[in-house]
Amino acid sequence: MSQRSLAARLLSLQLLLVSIAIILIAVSTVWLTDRLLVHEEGKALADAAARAAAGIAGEWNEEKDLARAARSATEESPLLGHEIDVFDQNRHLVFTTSRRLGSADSTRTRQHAVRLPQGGWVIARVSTAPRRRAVAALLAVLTAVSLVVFTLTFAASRILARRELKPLARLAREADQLARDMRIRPLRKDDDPIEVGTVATAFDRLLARLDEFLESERNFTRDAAHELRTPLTVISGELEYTLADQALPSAHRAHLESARSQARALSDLVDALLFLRSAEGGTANRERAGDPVNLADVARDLIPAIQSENPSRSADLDLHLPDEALVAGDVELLAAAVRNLMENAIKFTGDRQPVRVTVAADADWVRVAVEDGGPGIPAAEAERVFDPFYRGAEARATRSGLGLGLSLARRVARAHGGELRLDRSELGGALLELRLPALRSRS
Amino acid sequence: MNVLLVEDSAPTRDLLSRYLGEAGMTATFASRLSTGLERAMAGEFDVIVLDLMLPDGDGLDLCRRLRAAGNSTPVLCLTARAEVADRVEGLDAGADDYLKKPFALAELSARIRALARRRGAPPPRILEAAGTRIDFTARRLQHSGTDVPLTDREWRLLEMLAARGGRVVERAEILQALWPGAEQAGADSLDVILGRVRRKLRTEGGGFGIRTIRGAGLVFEPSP
Repeated sequence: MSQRSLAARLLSLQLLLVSIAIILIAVSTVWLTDRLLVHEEGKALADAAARAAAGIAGEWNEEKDLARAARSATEESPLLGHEIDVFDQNRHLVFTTSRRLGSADSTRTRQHAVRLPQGGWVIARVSTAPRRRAVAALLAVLTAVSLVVFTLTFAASRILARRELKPLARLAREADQLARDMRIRPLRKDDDPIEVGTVATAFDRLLARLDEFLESERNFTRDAAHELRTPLTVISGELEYTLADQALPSAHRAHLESARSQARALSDLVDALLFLRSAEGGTANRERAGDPVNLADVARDLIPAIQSENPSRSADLDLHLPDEALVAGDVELLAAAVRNLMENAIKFTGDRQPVRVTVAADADWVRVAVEDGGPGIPAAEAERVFDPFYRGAEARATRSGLGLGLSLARRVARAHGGELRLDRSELGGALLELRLPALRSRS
Repeated sequence: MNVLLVEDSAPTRDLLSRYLGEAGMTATFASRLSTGLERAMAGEFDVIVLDLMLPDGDGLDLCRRLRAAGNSTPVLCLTARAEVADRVEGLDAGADDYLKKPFALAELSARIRALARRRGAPPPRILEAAGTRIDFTARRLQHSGTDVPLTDREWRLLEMLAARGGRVVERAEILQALWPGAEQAGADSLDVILGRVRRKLRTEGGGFGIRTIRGAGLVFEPSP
């Protein structure tokens, strides 16, 4: 588990420490108790042996028969759980209090021997079972208590960990919400624990910086839009004004028409750059990409300008446009992208080479396919036509176009949730297909 | 026709004074918000053309103060940004129309004329009849609660017609406003768009309709 939670780790650590403490206490308690009991047991055994030996020695002086002396001596004084064996000088067992003769199991009993002054031995035996039972009982009690302590520790730690980590969960939730709506607000709360407060304060500082950045981003986009579009208004307006003059010599007219077309391309470029900057910077107005745009109309509207700029090519244009193909987006940018595809196709084909424009819509997608019967795009350039500001070798040599560029057209497509791809057309040349999500009516 | 132009860019003022003058309008200029407001309050103008980014403030402030003072002169905003949110903010401030820079001169004069014509009769904001609801501010058309999407040009056609509901709007005027500088090419497109708007209004089902008056133009009216 590489992603274990902090709470789980703290809990495991606490439980480990508690377990070690419990085990240490239990082991030492059991060990000490056992030692103590062994010691007491030994003392009592030695006492019993000494008392029995003294009694037997006294009786033996009167009786002269060791076995009888032993019996009378052991009958006089209580044995207190001890067994007494008496051996004569020849180490023969002559008397025992044990009912089961010789049943002594040396592993379950302890014994203590005392030599009688007249010769012979008295051996006191005691079973160790009571001591072992006592230790076992102690062990059982300790185990039960340990389990209770362990369970209580587990429950208490869990509750505590959850409660203490709650501000952290809140912090995560609020940061998440903020990432979604980008409305910057302080994350620090007065009742945060110190550690969480430190994190929240650091976040707040980061957010303040981010907010400054976003604000300057918004200002830049607004100022740039104003500063660039105001002079563009004058340039295209003056050209329109001058071109409206019927007395304008036709040589000048052609040059001014060219300037006007470039001014329009520049305006598209400004739109695209500002749109992409805000779309990719995350500062885009969410409502912005929502206007319904009919791509069939967009294509239809582009035709007259393209035909008037390329009068010799009118017959080569083959249009397949439905009545309506709706997407949601920015109409000027989408029109600039479609115009770019159409102008490209016209540019890179010669007279009597067909250019086919097809707009098709199904439930999910609207496709604008622009294909031509020209030479196509060489495989070596196929990957690079989408590079920013890339123009093919031929385009660089012969054209002065400032067009939107396939790179920007593709980014416009992607900013609208679509794609622009290059393929080979059945007409022999290039096929550029713009695919955008179809607009569904909301209810 | 008297037009007040509040615009801080001198080259733009110079261009527009020539163009609007030749288009038969009398233009008065102001380069700042303060002087613009002064002139707007003092004079009688048919239309005010207002740049939204002025050196001494936001053009919409002028619009708000004008409306607060009871002045209802139509205001056409020139703006470098015309997103939906900007447009709603502008309409809330009392602006009547929007034109995004850079614009075609023909479109500017067409819009100025359209505003001057509908002066005194502010366009409807919400129309409702027979389960059909048209909200011009939010640009939403609904049939029994279901949205029907309209493109910008379809809305502009509907707005033009609805603003003069019951009265004829000439085709030439519509072409000039919707396809400035390309009226010839727009003639075919207008019929296509008109058919689509009629379909989307569900004119057969009641609610609203657009009637063609042969030789005259189009009329927006509640369906009979």
